Amino acid sequence: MPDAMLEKPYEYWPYEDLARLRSIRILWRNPATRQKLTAHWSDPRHPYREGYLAHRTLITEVLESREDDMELDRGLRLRETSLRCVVRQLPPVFGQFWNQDSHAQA
Amino acid sequence: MPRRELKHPDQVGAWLDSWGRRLRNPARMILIGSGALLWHAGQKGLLAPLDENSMDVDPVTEDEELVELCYEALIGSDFELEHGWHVNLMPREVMREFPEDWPGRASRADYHLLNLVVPSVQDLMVPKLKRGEPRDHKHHAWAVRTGLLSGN
Repeated sequence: MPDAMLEKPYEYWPYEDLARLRSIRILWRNPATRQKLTAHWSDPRHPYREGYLAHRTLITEVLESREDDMELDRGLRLRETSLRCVVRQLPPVFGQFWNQDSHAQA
Repeated sequence: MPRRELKHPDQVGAWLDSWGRRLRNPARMILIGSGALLWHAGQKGLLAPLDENSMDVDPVTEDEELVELCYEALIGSDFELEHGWHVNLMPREVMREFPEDWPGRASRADYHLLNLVVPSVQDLMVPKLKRGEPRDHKHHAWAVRTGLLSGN
């Protein structure tokens, strides 16, 4: 745990999770990168493809939400999940096909 | 064969130069952690490697192009396969672990379109010594031994 306590709803999050949410939101704002991300995460070569497809609706909802994160987290908890749970489902990118094939497929 | 660890001051400068050349738009990065200590050492022309290798660098950025480069270089990435260390992107909140007035003591440098901000060595040590793991103390001892930090 960091000594400098984070604010809710991030207060028990590792910094890596908060960075992942922030960074993917930044990338998601750009329509071309958004398309590239969804193509990459759906690529049959991506090891987390199935997980992404299973949680795609929720992931998209979180990335496109304009709600305050506190409100977003509260709503997700009513649906037996949480903002951090969804963030943990955000897949990484793999360079071998991030800058090549996925872009072509997008 | 690339080095399989991050320990030499010139590795950080080479990485920043490489990323600065790839940017098409200006972007800002705050660099913290042991990578930042190595950066300070590189600025002074020191060659002494870190006593204990680092596995990653810890940048803070919210500029899209730089975020994308960081995202491509996370743990387990091809970047790590190539370099032997990875990029551990940090959120801006991590700066709360530093003294509030750290920006006034920070160093700044430009690598092409990359604008780099690095807290002072003294400020970089604050979260490290708070965490107090053996490697943090080794990094502190290294900074003192190399003259980056006063031993007082």
